[in-house]
Amino acid sequence: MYMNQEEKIELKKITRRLSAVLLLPVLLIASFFVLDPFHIIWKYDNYSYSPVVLNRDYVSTQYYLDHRDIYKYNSFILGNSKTLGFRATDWKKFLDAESHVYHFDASGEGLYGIEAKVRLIDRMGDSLKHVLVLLDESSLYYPEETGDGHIFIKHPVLSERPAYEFYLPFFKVYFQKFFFLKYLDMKIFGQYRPYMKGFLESRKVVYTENEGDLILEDIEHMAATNPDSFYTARASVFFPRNLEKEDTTGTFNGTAQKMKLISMRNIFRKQGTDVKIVIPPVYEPRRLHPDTRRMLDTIFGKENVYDYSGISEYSKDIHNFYESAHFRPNVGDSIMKEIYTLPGK
Amino acid sequence: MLFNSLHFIAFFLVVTPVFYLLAHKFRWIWLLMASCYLYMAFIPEYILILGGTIVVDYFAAFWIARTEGRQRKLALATSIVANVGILAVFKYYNFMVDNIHGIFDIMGTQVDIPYFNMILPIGLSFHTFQAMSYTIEVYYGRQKPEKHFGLYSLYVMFYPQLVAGPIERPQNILPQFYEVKKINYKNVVSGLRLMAWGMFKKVVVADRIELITSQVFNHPEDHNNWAVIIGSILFTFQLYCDFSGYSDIAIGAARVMGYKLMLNFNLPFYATSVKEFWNKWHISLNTWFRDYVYFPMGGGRVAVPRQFFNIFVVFALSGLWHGSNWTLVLMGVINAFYIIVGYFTRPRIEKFLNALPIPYKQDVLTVYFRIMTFLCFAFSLIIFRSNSMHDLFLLLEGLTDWSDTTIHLKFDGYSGIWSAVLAILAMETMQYIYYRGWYHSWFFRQSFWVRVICYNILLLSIVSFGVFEVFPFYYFQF
Repeated sequence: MYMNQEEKIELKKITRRLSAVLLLPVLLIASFFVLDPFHIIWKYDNYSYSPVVLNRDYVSTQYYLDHRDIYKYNSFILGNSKTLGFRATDWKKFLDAESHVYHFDASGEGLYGIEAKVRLIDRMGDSLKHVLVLLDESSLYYPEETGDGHIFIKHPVLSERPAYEFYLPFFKVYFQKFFFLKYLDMKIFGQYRPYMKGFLESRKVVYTENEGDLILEDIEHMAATNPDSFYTARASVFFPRNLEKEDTTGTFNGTAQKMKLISMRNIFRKQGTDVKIVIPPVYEPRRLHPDTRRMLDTIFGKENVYDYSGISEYSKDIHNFYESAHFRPNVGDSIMKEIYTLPGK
Repeated sequence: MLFNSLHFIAFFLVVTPVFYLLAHKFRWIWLLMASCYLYMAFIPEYILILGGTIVVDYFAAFWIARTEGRQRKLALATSIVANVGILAVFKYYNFMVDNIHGIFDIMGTQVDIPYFNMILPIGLSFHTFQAMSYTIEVYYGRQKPEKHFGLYSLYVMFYPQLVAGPIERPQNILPQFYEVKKINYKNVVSGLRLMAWGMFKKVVVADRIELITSQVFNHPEDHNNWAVIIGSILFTFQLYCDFSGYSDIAIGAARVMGYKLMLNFNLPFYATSVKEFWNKWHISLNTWFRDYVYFPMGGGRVAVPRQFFNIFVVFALSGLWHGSNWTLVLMGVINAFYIIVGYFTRPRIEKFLNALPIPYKQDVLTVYFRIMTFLCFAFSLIIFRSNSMHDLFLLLEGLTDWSDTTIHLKFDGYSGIWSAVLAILAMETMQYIYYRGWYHSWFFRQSFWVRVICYNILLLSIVSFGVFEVFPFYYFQF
């Protein structure tokens, strides 16, 4: 180091002063790594009751990777957050005793993510004995990775991208709009305050151990025990709809979609998988386009595809929904009862 | 590698300490390597083009210095043709082809000249002008040719100002490369402070405003009257914060290592005339045109009509420097027009206003002229920002259409516009404090821990309020 005595004194002064200025930022950066608000740095056996909205894709993938040797998963529910209504714990009832179920979903999951998960399971050498795949308009519309924002970005093992591309958005979000302040407030005082709305989780979100189901504990409790009050308070999230007339979605049978679906089908065939493709009920009176349905029938076999879209007994009753995007577990349970007794619908 | 990226921060945190750890004789090598790395982060192959012009100018300078008369002029011309030639090919060729096609279309003839599909090298306009200022200064005998090829290369490629200026003069920079730079607390702290301030202007103010102005200027057919006015006023602040923010980061990064770059912005919104404004805005470019175009054309020594002509030429060229679009030339011409009109009208307006019985007359007049100067510049930026002449006509048409005064801008509720306004107010408040000298008289008298709190507020504001959508610096496209 080519510095004379005078420069060394200057350097010491700079180091001391810069350390003082950067003390708070460094502590805040350290808090991101130590406290791990998004649960992406350390390993967890339980992701329940997090005050922060977690990246469901990361949670479900990492939990699977960390526990596959323990629980020997061989039966998987795949799809987007609509799979909230299909609990793996309920699904177990319809399968044989050797089936070890896992809820392997993600928020905003598209074909890209579903196919990546199927390939991952196959690559890990795990069995795909039973698979229940939920495919709706939004998951079929996005055959490529969208992964925009920290809630939707894919686990690095699925995206096969450098790890820093996954972690950086979380790091940025922690510091933006004083998110860290809200989080530290909640962490220290344990109280959810109004100014945290939009940043922190006010709901009680439970991830079941073993099966990995996501349960909105308090929401489901309110809907079940006090439906009148629950649905009156949530009237604004149920937009008006016309149940006299059914619309049709666009067609999603492009090459990109077909390639993902065929890739999945080939793995299922190789493994002799019992696959059920479910097009779930939707609040809007929209039915999946017949051409898209035909594509799914051709690829997976008509007897394995079950279409509950459009106007149905499930979609007519708002008590079957938490809000216009997600239906409740009683719907999933009822559908599973049907599909495990009947061929394709 | 954008200055508002983690990549650049990591780059800076490596380059600067290593610079100080190295002996003086090795520092130029390290800085040159770092500058090459930064340049090659965009398109690596283009370093060959930059290297080619460096070699041409290096030898041209010796040729100029050793010759006289026509030979000397030929040597200078060689350097200028080499530099302007590269600029013409990459920046103006397609523009010329478009215009030739247009002319032949008007004449009713078909002609098919191929287009040149290559991405503009980053910072081409800046380092080209900086290289030309070297050979021009040698030509005028104000600068000796630099024998050290490495140091000359570093003069052209010095990383803080490589991609968007300030456009330096050899007399300012080259001698500094010979000085042994000792680590200095004041340089390091003031440099870092300036970098943080520049980052604040860029990510908190400029990029926030971009979310609104892009709606107006990218979809001119959808907006009229108030939206165009709001868009142009906001864009004025955006452009200032974007470009001066970049300059602050560049000047600050150089200062941390002990190098002094020229001031590029000097509170231009405090100017009370368009002429004064252009002495405070993008100072390095405007002084370049003044010294190497305006003065050689006669400057202020010729008759007034000829001065006006010179001003038009300089501003038209300045507009053209910004890019290959007639809107940019028109922007330059409009500003020349303002200056010329001001030559006649300003004395009369001042005389008229001075005769009025206004309390605090001088202050009122100062504020009045500042606002008028700002509005004149803001109007010219409608032209500058328009993506094409067609878009410009749509915007001007919209500006004059008052049949529907609904503002069709998405403000993200009210948070978008108000957060942009608050960001501008915060920035202007700090600038006013600086302008009045309160910054120096108050801030540096506070205890160290008060200053630490202020620095932390600045840093936290950047990370918490910054818009990190990765909008490149506006002037990178030039």
